[in-house]
Amino acid sequence: MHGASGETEPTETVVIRNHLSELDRVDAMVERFGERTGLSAETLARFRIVCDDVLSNVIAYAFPDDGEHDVEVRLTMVGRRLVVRVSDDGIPFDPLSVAPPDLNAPLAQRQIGGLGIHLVRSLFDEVTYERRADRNVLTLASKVADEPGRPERLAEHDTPAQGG
Amino acid sequence: MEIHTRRVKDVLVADLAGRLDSRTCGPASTELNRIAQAGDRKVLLNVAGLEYVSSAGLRAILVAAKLLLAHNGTLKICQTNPTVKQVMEFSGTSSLLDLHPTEADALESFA
Repeated sequence: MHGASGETEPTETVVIRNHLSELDRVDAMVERFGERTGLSAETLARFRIVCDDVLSNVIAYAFPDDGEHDVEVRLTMVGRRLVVRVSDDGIPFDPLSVAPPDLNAPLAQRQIGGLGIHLVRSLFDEVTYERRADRNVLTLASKVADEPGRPERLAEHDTPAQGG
Repeated sequence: MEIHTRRVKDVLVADLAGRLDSRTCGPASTELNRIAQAGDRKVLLNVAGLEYVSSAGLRAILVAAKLLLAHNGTLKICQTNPTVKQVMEFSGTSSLLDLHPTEADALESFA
């Protein structure tokens, strides 16, 4: 699958505790990832949105014991695909099993909840859930379509083609 | 996350700046609900300074919009950046909230 042998894929990992304030550390990681990869501000914002939605959901619902838990977040760039993996040791929960909200209901009848996972699925091409070794593992992947409106950032971080 | 209000004729304009997500939506929701219940019927959120909004932030906006509707008012939004616009479109909120590209367009549409 991997063409460029010897070239490591840019990866950032952070393990946070199950508190919303810990999301600041995820922000810092996204920042570092952005600096390494030169991704556009828009792409990084999409990243932050899904991290916020997925992680706030995990923190709110995965740990009914109210104990301290670790949640691992990993960002990887595989070619032009961006992969986010979130894993936790909370109760089994497949967010993909949640029915999508009715997006045609008028404002007065509109359901306020249930938007998070729907939004995550809209922003990323592929979303998969696995229960693996007593952990929930949610993997999101999307091809990066950074627009040519920000060539200065792409150029700044552009490296000569490998394969020589 | 900051919210400042100003008045343009009979429209209350609230300028939102920063990131509206699970960490900031609590105080933002309190302020938006206060605005929605303060008696104004024409409320415009100018989100030019909003970097992004997650579903927690959308909820805060939708709750305020519902409150305002219950008080016979209307909430409109203007100057979404591409990311915020995309989130509102994907989540189906853009069809509820009447988005306008510029503040001038939005103000005119209230008349």
